[in-house]
Amino acid sequence: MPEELKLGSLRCEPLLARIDPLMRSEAEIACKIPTSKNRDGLLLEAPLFTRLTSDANLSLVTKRHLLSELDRFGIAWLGDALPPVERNPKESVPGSLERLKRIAVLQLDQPIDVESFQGAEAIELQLIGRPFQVLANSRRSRWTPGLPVEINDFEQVAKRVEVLRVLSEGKCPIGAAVAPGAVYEDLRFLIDSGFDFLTLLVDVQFGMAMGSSLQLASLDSTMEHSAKAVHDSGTKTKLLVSANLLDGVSMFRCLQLGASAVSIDGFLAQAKPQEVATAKDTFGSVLSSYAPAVAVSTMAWVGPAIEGLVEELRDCAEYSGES
Amino acid sequence: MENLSAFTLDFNLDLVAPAEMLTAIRLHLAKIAQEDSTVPPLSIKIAGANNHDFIGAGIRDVSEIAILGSIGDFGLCSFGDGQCHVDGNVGDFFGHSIASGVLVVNGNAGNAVGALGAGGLIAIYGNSGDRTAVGMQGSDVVVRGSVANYAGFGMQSGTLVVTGSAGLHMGHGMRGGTIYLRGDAGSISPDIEEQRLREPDRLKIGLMMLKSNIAAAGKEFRVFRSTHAGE
Repeated sequence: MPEELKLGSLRCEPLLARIDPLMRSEAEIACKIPTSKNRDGLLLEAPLFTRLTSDANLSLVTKRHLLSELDRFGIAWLGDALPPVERNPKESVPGSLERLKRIAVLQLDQPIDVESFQGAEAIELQLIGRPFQVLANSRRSRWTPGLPVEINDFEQVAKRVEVLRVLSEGKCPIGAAVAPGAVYEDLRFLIDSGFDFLTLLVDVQFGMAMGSSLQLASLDSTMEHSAKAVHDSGTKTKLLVSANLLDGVSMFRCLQLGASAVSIDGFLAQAKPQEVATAKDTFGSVLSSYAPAVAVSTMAWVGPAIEGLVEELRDCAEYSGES
Repeated sequence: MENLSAFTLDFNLDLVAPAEMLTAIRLHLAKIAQEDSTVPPLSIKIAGANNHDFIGAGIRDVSEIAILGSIGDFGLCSFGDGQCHVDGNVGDFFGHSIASGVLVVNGNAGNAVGALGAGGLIAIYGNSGDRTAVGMQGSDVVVRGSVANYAGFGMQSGTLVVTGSAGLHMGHGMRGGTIYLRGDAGSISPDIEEQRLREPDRLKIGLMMLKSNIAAAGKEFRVFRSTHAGE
């Protein structure tokens, strides 16, 4: 990997590449990934995603509010579709929930349910955990790399990918979430198996509080090995990175190192106001978990925080000439 | 694709890919549902199977499917609500993630039949390969012949009935469910133990045999259950 791609410094495009942005027909927003929704890629409106909707035990109201904010900025999220909204005029959940970028989740030991793919933009097989064992998200062994329980031969993984493609009628890109172990070997194998995108779980955030995260690997070495694996395989496999990236600059660096999208989970946890994070010792705070209106008001920080993040990312992109 | 009658579809897989067939079936079902809120029975005949993979994957809500010839891997994956008869052999992962309905195979089956199945019944009239009923979570599998190694591997719930014999490591990693075996097993995993055959077991075997159209009496079987049940 070239020295300039190492984390720690923002890599800039050369001057010759700095063509007037007005001349660029496809430059709609600063942080759009030029990918298409087909076998080769995954279409994301912004290079950001969150796994909190799958990994953290969020209440339905909190989840709805978070999703409406994610929707505003075109940020993808993992998880099952929400039940239909009951039209309650008193419920002050803003935004529309109609054009969400949902990535359907399929666990190692979970039967393939075609209905869970309905309306999903992509399908992600979770190659983590121990089959049929419910372990707390805070336990490292919960995130152990693993293959589906019925697979006992590497070649079968490719067929498992293909059957998901058939079941989704070829409409959804198929991906896998992996905890970095032997990064290069694992990624070469998964890319050869036909996955369209791979999510690297460098850090996992299993709650909205600051301490609710686990570091599983080093970001620098994971990015170095994974970028090499994609390059050596000669494919256009997209890399999504779930890491504890706390600001726009570190996210932008990660994107420059070869990631197609990065998670905002760590950012959301540290952006959460302290009083909201620790308000669990009063009767009022206990009641708030049962009162939708109060729960929504405690999520009011999400929109401005994401807005600030997107602005910072655009600023980085403009600085480096990648807008 | 030729429309034989109002609700019978005939596919020849020499001419249509499995994914295209699935799309056509789903479109047809959606059309029927639009015209009438109660979906009338739809039957499908599939010819030219020729050991293709993924045949019938994702087909649901079709009352009757007849497949002529042997099919490859992941056949009838994620099947639900209907009855399917395969007049030939089936490959690996047949009936993977089956949710409901009945699958009947006239020939032999490959490895991992009924993997991760959550409901429904699979009846194999021939023999079945390794890891039959692997990771099963509520389905029932009946094998008239014998099963190879690791039968019931990692089973969580459901029933595996084997009229013939079993290979090595039967019940390895089993955490729930039941295996009924009429013949001998090459070796039995310490994860399961033999229990006394009771009247409910006999009734259950009899019912499954009846549904599978196999002649065997419930009293001839031995019953094995997980030693870890309830842990």
